[in-house]
Amino acid sequence: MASESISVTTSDDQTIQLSRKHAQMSQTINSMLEDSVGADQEAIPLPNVSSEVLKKVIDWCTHHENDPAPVEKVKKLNKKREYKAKNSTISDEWDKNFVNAELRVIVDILLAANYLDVKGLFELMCKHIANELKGKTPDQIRERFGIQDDLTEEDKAAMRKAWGATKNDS
Amino acid sequence: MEQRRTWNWALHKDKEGIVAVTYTSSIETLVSAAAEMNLPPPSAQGVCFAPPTGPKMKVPLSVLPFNLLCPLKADLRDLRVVRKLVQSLYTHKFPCCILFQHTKKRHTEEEHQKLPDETIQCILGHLDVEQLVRIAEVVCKRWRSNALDESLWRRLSERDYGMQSQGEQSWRSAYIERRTRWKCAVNPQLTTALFCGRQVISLSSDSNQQDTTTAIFHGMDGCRRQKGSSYFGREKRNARNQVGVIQRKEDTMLLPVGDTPFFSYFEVEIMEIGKDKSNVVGVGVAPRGYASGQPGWHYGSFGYHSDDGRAFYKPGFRDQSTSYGPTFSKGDVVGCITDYHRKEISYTHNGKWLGIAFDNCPTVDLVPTIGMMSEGEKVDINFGGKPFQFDVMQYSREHAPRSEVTIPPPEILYTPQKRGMCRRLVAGLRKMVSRRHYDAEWALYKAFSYHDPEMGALIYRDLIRLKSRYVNVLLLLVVNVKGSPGVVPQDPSRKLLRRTERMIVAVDGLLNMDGHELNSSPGKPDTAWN
Repeated sequence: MASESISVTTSDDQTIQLSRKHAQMSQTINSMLEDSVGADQEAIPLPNVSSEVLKKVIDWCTHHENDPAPVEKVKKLNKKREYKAKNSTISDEWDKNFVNAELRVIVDILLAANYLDVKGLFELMCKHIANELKGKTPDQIRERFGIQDDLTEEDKAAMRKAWGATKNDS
Repeated sequence: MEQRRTWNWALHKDKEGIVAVTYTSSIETLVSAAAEMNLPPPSAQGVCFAPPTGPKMKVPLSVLPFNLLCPLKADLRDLRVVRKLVQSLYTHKFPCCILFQHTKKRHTEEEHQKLPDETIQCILGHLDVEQLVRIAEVVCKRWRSNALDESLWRRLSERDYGMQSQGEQSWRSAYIERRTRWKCAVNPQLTTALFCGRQVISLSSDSNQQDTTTAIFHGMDGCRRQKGSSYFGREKRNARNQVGVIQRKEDTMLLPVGDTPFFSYFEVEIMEIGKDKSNVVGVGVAPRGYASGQPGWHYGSFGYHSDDGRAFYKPGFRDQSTSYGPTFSKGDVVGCITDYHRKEISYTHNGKWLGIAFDNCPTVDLVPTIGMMSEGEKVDINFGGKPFQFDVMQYSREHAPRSEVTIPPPEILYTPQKRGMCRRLVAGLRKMVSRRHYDAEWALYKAFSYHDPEMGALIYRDLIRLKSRYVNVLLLLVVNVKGSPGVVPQDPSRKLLRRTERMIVAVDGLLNMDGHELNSSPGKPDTAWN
């Protein structure tokens, strides 16, 4: 009944073929497929994902297609390490290369993973960005992510006060 | 963006932050729709901009070529809303137009602005809590609101401390309070100590901090060296056998688990081994003020020694030593767990748990102690200031006492006339039946470790009169716990566990059958259990 490959249309109007196995790693496509049984002739529109990003996502899916549960696996590998390290290290060499990209691409992939609901990829990207944030001062973070400092002086004063209180407590 | 767009979705923004979502079969439909709605014609991108409110919207729906027109006050950054819409519309194949009023101010086209709040929270969840509190909250308003979000803190609390409820406080303050407790308990001092033959030099990494003096060692006074004669009248040692002892001034730190901390942990990394052949580093715990040789050599101390991998303990005047773990040398990390709950001391070697070294030991007033023997030995002591190699959280999860079972006070001497106590014991055991094996094992261990074998025999004799076939196991247990000769080893491990299981079944049966008899038994009237 179900064909082996599925075609999707990306936001830049390209039709991309991907195998059913990869497509089912995305919860969004999966549920769309379930909703439209019998109508699998038509390409699935993915208006939030560009073809460039989708190719990256498919790359990742291809590399991880045989992982039973990618998130679990990461946890298991780091079991012996310190507790915090468990959540923040990217253990897979391939993944490390994969995330070694421009911030714009990373954010796009993250958004796509969020939209397509690919858990493992989403976690990976979050981890990567969190690792980037680590050890940076607020100013550095603002610079890196192009954020404007929109907190007022009163906010900051209130925060400082709150910290002072906790410091004295401990 | 391209003009030809068939059955497609698009999200668009204009300068005012008004957003239209179109879902049309062709651009022509859009053009005609815009004309009929009295809207400006679609821009070059093929987008129809329409404010959801205002006079222009007063167009009867019937005029529209679209089947659906729904103004939404949704935050477009939350893609999930849109995704749901897309899904449902895709299923029904609606040609439609959804008009959004962007509820928030227009954003600059920066990368991070594209991220929905949930995603930002996921990212923040991967940060250290320190950074989350001190840094992420001051970046900008949006990050601050995300970093303060309750659901994020709730997730963190569940992940790190297994907290199920937070009481009256917010999740954030509950988390921070728990963490502060941890921070106080585990003093974040990272210290290197060097034995230079005559004295131990402590090279504290952050000596500028105020609490260093109280936190680490006795200072130079505490790093005593043993010279010549020893503590308990042992024979003289030659100069080569001088032992530098480092002790922590404070009591051992406790790691929090549940509401009560129940074990302590520290790690020692051997950075340099000594020049002499007799380079022994002993890691262990000893009574406060212990300054006479390697831990394990003298009264009341427990030690694991690097040269032979043996575990030493001196409970009385006789040395006890067992072959325990691997030897350790330069580069190895050895950790010591003192479990106050089960009265056990165990060690880890390079992050691997080596099993129980000593059980049934007096764990009161023991402080971490490290002994070094040869010049140039250098150790790095970690009281929690940097990550442990050993997964202490996992240990605490696995060994945490789940429930307290009140045990009759040990001073009640058991006599056949005091059957009430037996009844209470049995009732207590019955309580445990439904609990996990570990709790039962531990509670029994605690219950019976108060009694000596004679007393156990008395209990046994009395119980056997009640119902002999049910209590054989109980005797085994009673004797076993005290480690009488000829019975199973002291370790309250699998063997004991199996007996416990059987006994729980047996005791439960006993109670069911003899409840009446027990209740009517003579003896002192008992206070209620608990």
